[in-house]
Amino acid sequence: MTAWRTPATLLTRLITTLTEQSVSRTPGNLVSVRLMAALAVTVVATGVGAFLAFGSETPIEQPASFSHRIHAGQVGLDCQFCHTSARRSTVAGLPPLTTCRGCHLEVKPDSDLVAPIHAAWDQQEPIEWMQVHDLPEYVRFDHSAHVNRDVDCSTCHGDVKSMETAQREVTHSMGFCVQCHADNDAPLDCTACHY
Amino acid sequence: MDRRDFIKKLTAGSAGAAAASCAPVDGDKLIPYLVPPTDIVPGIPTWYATACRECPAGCGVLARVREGRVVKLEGNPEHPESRGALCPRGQAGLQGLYDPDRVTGPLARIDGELQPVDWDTAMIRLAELVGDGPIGWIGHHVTGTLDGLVDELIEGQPGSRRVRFETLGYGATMTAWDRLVGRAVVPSVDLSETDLIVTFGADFLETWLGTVSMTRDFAASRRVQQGSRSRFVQVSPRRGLTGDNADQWLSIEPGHEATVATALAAEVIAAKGDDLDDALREVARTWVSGVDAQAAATAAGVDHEQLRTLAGELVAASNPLVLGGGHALAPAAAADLETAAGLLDLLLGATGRSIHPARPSPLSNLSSHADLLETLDLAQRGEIGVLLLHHANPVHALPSDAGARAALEAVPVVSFATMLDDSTMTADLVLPDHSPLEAWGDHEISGGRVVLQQPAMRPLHDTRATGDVLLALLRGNSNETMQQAVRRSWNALHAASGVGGSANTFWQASQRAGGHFAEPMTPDGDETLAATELPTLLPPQTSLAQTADTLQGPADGLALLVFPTIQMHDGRGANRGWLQESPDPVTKVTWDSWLELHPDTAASLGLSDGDGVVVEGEHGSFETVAVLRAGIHPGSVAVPMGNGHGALGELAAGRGVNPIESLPLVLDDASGMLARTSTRVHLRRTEPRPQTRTQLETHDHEREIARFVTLPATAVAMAHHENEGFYPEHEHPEHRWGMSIDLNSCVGCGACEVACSAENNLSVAGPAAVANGREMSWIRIDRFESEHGTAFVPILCQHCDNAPCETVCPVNATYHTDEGLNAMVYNRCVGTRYCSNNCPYKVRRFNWKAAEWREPLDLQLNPDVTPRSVGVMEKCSFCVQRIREGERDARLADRNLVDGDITTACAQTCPAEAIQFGDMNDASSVVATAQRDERAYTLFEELNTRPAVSYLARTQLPASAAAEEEA
Repeated sequence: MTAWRTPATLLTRLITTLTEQSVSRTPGNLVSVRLMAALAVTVVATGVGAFLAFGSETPIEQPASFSHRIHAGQVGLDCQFCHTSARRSTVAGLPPLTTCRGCHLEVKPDSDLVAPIHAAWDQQEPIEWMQVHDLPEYVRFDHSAHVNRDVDCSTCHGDVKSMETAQREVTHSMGFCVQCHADNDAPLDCTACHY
Repeated sequence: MDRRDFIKKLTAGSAGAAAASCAPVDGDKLIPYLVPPTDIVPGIPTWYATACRECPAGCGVLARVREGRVVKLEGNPEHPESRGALCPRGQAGLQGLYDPDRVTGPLARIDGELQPVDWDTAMIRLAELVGDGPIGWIGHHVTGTLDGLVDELIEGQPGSRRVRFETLGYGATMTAWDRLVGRAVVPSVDLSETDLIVTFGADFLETWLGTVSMTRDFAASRRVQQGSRSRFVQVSPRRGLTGDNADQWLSIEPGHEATVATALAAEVIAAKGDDLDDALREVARTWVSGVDAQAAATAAGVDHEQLRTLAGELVAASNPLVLGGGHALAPAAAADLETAAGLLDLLLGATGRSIHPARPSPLSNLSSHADLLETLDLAQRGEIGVLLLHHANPVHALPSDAGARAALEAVPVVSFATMLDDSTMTADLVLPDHSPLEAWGDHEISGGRVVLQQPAMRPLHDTRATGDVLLALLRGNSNETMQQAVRRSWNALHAASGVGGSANTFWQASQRAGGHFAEPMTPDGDETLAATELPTLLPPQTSLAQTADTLQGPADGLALLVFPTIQMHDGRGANRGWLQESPDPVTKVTWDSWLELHPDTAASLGLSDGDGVVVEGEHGSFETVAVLRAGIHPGSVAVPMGNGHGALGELAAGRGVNPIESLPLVLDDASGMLARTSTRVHLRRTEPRPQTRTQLETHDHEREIARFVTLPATAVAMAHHENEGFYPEHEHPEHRWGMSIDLNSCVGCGACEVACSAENNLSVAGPAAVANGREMSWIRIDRFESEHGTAFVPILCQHCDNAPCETVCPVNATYHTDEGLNAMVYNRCVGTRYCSNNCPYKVRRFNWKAAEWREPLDLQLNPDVTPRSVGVMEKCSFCVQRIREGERDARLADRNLVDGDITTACAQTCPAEAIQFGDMNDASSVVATAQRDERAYTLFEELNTRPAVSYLARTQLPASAAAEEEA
């Protein structure tokens, strides 16, 4: 149990990766997986380019420019400087606007690239980032279990330090997860991730 | 990606075009905080201690909050009465918060219709309606700050009336103790040390006083110590859930409760002889003088010898306790029954030991039905300008003859409500209240202790706490909020408590603990009662002189008993799917009302189980379904209250019947309470109806599902089968999770079922599916009757080591884990249902249809559990998400798991502490110890399934010498 405090200050306007992931209003993803499997077979059989459907991705564009290359690579900020809950929670967490602002009131405050931060603060409207990685609803992934075992972030997220805008470099398929678990003597039980 | 998106992509692919719009995650956005709250880590639950307000008891709850939403309620272990447990209603409090039919903003009657208005308009309207003349406040049980505000409002407008109304009131009890000791109170009761409990119908395991604390104490008294445990005898026309847990049931003719209790008192006086204090004996003799014990027993259909034996047992017991009729059945002579029961407690020395009139329950301030009727009458005559309803539903709580609806329609009504119930529908102004989980408050429990109610989340809708509305009305623009008002009360409590430190420290400590639970320094000592406050006013009771029939209606009719159930209580939660679908513990009916009648009576009327039946009384008739059971006096029929709403919401409206409507308006003269056993009715058979019952048979066909042992021996006679398994044994290198369920403790309340629904995102199947046997519960409580008594057997997945389901799954979707779980991987399941066919325990549930959560019920879903979709199998997972969470907490704290770190939702909420969960590999764990107990057995051992769930046999007391003689 964590701190019991008054929630009067609680901002319900939160919305983190996990919330988005877990509060789907239609629990329809399971069936869709099975249906998709069935349909995929049909697709291959008819020789239509299923690869086109799954394999090609346009790069993700974000509503504001944020360079992982500069922050994580050039400046050398630790991933957890911004993604603060990775070591203690299932989700890594997205930095609140105050984190961005905390630095950029001092660092390059007048840069055009930083302007969206000030604008968001002035309007008190958070920047809505596009999600890069997502997992199906029936998969539980615990960041803390991995981060505290010295699994490097890049293992699953790719070389973010070199990316201008973060992209999906590693495909989070079940094979990817299971292979790593097998190689590292990690649990291979289904209920490690599925429940 | 969902199905629709897939098909879109498929189309694009077929056309040979690149799927240009195909971002990896379709449109999902990540929206960060502007300023991070200091006490929230995304993905980690935060717990807030607050109060349960689902009944007047005021149990303590911990609300589990994830990302700003309450997703689960659990009992607060620091609360001195509920001690970490919750009842089914408490568990379902969450659905009150997320009820899709809640009032979402203020409504005012414009052109005859309730229409949305803004709060400014509503407040102006309120001020106009309240004016400065006499007003009437009809509100449910409140204490503390809000109570003070209502008083302030009432006192500020001379001539105003205040009715503190609960449908299930305690007026008769208060009258009785006023007669006996000069204090009109509801005494607090402690069953934990008793060794013989006799009740005349008080349903203390269902709705009477605090269900949770009573169940906890009762279970404590039932635990086997030195080869024995407490004994419980119920004397009543019907045995409900509470009576099912009795060792002996004396079935009596309805309407004779008071005379039988008085006859028992006479026998106790005779048996006590010279042991009694002279003054007390004189007073008691005056009381019983009007009753001839023999005649009273005969008239009630009880063997006089049995009463005499019972009196002997009471006198011989070291810590006996007698409880009255409660409010389960309210005969016209309710106050007399309560007086006789209280007198027995005085005679037996239980007063000050197990029942404490000097330590009254806060329920002692409740008004009577007579007060309510008088206020309605004053309003109708124009002597009161406006009626203010505060979570009170007099239309549903009173017989039609009382004319509550007409009264409310005739006068201006303001309703502070969360739901549009039958009374609120008549209102001219509806001011939606916060859910208790969104509001500030303080709630007094017995002994002057106070529970602090604090919001666990931001309000979902455009609602305002009634306290805030009253503050605005009373103080104008001073802008004090309810939060500040509660804080002010708390500072006063701090000053009076004698606790050192600053008021701020005291406040914060109380917020963490969920209240201030230290007893006030000097309560009025119980000791003072016996010597100085002996009854002086005791009049001989005239109505007891004759045991003549006091019931109205045709002489050849059957007495109609109207009783509350643990799920439905007074009916305020009837729009909650979890409560509707949770089976009645006794009849296993869901989603409906029913009529209980004795098989002999049914035979004489040509009625069968499941027949439709019209109940025809002189004051109204209604149709429901017949349920045959032996636990009711053949001269009576019983119908539960709580359903039969005209409004309230989509699930409740028009469901079942409200038998109170068809009762005559008969008040008990002495207490002013509505008599709910007051009329006789005729029955007429109609067509059979589909049965929404989850269990139709109560016999286990010698399969030894419910086992008994007779004390003092405790060993279960087990026929051990040394079967060779076909498959190799599983190894459990680290943990093997297991469960032990003590049938001697389980009272059958069903809290575990609702807790499981909340924890595991179980869908509510609905009445049609239940009638088809397609309910989705992961844990059910089977009820078995035998010559040994009734036993409640919670049945869930047994997590067999040699599981029949696992070997037949063609896709390996269900398999055995290294930790001993019988796992179910939803995304692998293809829905063959072989597993369910092969499960001897019938605990697997198939998703025949897609689960639906009407918004905002979806906000309640536990983010740690996958909602299942149509076509997959599901079942108890031993709360694997809680196991994983416990493992993570231990890992982050860099320590090993210890016994008690992890428990399942069912075990957590069990008020009787009947369910224990833990690691069977740890020989010292509670569960491993219990599984080695002499009473331990497993279900269907002959099948060699080797379950991880074991049961402890229910105990039976040896037949008393007298009973043996009879035999």
